[in-house]
Amino acid sequence: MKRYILIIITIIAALLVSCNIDATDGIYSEAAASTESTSVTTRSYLGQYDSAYYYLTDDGIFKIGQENALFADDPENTDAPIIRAASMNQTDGSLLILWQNKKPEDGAVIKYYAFDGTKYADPVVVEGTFTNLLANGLYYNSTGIFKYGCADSLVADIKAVMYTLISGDYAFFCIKDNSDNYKYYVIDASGAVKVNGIGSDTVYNTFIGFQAICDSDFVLLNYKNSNSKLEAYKMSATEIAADPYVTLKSSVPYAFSTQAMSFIYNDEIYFKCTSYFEKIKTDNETEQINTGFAANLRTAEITNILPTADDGIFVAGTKSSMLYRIDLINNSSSRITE
Amino acid sequence: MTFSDTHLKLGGFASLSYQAYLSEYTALGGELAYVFNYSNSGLLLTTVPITAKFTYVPVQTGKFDIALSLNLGGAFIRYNEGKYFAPFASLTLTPSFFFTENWGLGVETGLMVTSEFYGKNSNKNLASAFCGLMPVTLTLSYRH
Repeated sequence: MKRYILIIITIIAALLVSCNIDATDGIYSEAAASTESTSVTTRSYLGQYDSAYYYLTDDGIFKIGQENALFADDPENTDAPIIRAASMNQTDGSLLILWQNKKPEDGAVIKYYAFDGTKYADPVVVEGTFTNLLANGLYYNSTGIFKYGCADSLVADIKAVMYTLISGDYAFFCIKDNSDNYKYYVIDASGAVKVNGIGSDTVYNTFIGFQAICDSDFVLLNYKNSNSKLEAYKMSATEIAADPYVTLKSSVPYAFSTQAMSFIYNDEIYFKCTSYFEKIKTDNETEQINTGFAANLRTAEITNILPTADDGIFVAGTKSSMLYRIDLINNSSSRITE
Repeated sequence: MTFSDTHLKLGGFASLSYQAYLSEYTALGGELAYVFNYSNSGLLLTTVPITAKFTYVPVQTGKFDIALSLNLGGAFIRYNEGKYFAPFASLTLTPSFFFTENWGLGVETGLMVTSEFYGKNSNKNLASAFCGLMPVTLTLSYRH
């Protein structure tokens, strides 16, 4: 009898101990990585201009250290358009803003705002209505992908933009053309098309991360449904490699609610996965990082990461904890407060 | 080091225990407790220890007792979407003043430790961790 009781207790204990298998992280390590939440919901970090940091929230576009919005949504006015996306040119401080009309059938318009160092000029309205504006300044609708200042579309013959991934100045597009072919493009912030390829939809629907190693060398991170693995693929100017060159140890970030944000330093790529940053080293080995710079950020929902002009310094936007400065030289991160 | 450096905010602790004296100075029993803390991000960390409790009472004046207790057992812990059943141990010191023959009021403090272990083949192999808490609680005792 005693033996059966012991066996039952052992089975129950084993079941209880296995309860955390489906969780994305250790309980204590997740709690220890928790960061102070703010009441602000950040949608993206826009960039740095003249030493100030700019970011887009649910309430409008703000500058760190300044309470009033530079451009505000007006929740009191139910007919006023709201800001859906924005892009900053870090060279001259100018802004592109996608204003979404309240009536969906009225679409969204893009306005360009020049900055003279003290104030923004009256907007120049970009002709047409648009579906989305990306952080690197590219925007698109059902007729093409565009860049402000370029007379013609960068890519035409679009039936639908299936999804986009962004990394610094580069954007990855997967589109369906009017002949129902799936095509992919990498376009940089200047409007130059770096990759132009054709492929199958079954592959494309699972890409969740993207990183430019250099101007002609790109990496896509793919979530493979069959084995729940994250696999990195190299991409040439015309095609995606058939086989992955690296398989990550980490799991999927936030069930695709956001892409696996990435940055690159010393030719090593850092992908933000669910509980870790995972680094693809130059020898194609990988390393999960949860300490140092990653300690404050590894469980945060990161909106985007941009490099700065300083070596080894990056800025990450987080959904509920504002902006963080990542210092890879000192292996630290800290919230930006001014 | 501040409270925010622990990434946990001040929390709460409540427990119920029952013990029987084995000898004049020692007692054995069990304890069920509930511990909660909020993390910096505002999520709730709960711990429910179920333990065997051994107590040594070296000081007994009739009015004033000092008890040293060792708890061993397991704890259900929960945070965000994660659940885990962890080994649990605590060592506590409880000076108590008995204001009647049966009822005493005291203050208990000590160290409670839980731990989380993952094997090297687990995808959470970097997440093995210990959690140490130092609760300070008021105790109400009944003896007969």
